[in-house]
Amino acid sequence: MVTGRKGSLLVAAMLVVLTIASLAEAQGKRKPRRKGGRDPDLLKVGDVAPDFKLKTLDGKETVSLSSFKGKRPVALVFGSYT
Amino acid sequence: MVYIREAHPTDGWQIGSNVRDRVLFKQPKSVAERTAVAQTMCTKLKIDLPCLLDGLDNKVGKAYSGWPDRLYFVGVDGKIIYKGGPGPRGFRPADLSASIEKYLPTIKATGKKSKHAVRGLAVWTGDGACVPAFVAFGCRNGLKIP
Repeated sequence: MVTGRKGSLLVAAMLVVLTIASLAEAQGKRKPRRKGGRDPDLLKVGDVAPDFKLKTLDGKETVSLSSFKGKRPVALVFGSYT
Repeated sequence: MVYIREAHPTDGWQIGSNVRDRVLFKQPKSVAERTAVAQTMCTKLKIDLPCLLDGLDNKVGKAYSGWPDRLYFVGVDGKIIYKGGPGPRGFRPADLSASIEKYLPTIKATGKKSKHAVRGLAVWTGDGACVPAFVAFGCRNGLKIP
C-alpha cells in the first residue's frame, strides 16, 4: 500500500495525466469552425495597416492604401450587403 | 468602403431578417457576381462613397479580419489608430467618429464636420485635409471638404 508523500505524488501525477487526457479529448470534440466564419484577428492598434491594392467597382481604377501614407488618414469600412 | 465576402448569403449562414427584408444573395463566385452585388448594395443603401472590391481570395478581408463588418482608422503614418470590433455588435460608427475627431487636431488645427449617410457615420475632416471615409481615393465623389 502506498502512503504518505509517495501517495500524494502518485495522486498528483494521476491528476495531471487525467487533465491532459481531458484536454486532448475536448480538443478532439471541438466543433469545426463555421464555414465562412470569422478570420483570425491579427491586427491591433499601433500596428502598421497592411497595404492593399484593390479595384473600384467599375474596375477602372486600382487604389492602394499606401498611396495615402504621409498624406492623409484613412477610414476603412469592411462590409457586405447581407 | 471595402466590399468583402457576404456575411449571410442564401447558400450560407442565412438569417431571418434578410429573408424578411428580401436581401437574398448567394455568395458571389466570380468578380462579375461580386461586383453586381456590391453595386446593388451601393444603390439600395444609397452609398455614394467610393467602394473597393476585395478579391475572390478575400485576402484583404482576411488580413483585416473584416468579416462580417468592421471599422478601422489609419493615421497618416500608416499605423492603425482605431480598430473596431467585429460586427454587428462591434460595428460602432460613433467610436470611429470619436477616434477621428480626437486624431485630426493632431494634424490640423481646424476641422469641419462632414456627415455621410451610411449607417450614421459622421466623419470629422481636417480643414482641407480630407479624411477619405469608407476607403477613399483622394477627395472625390463628394468627399472633398471645402
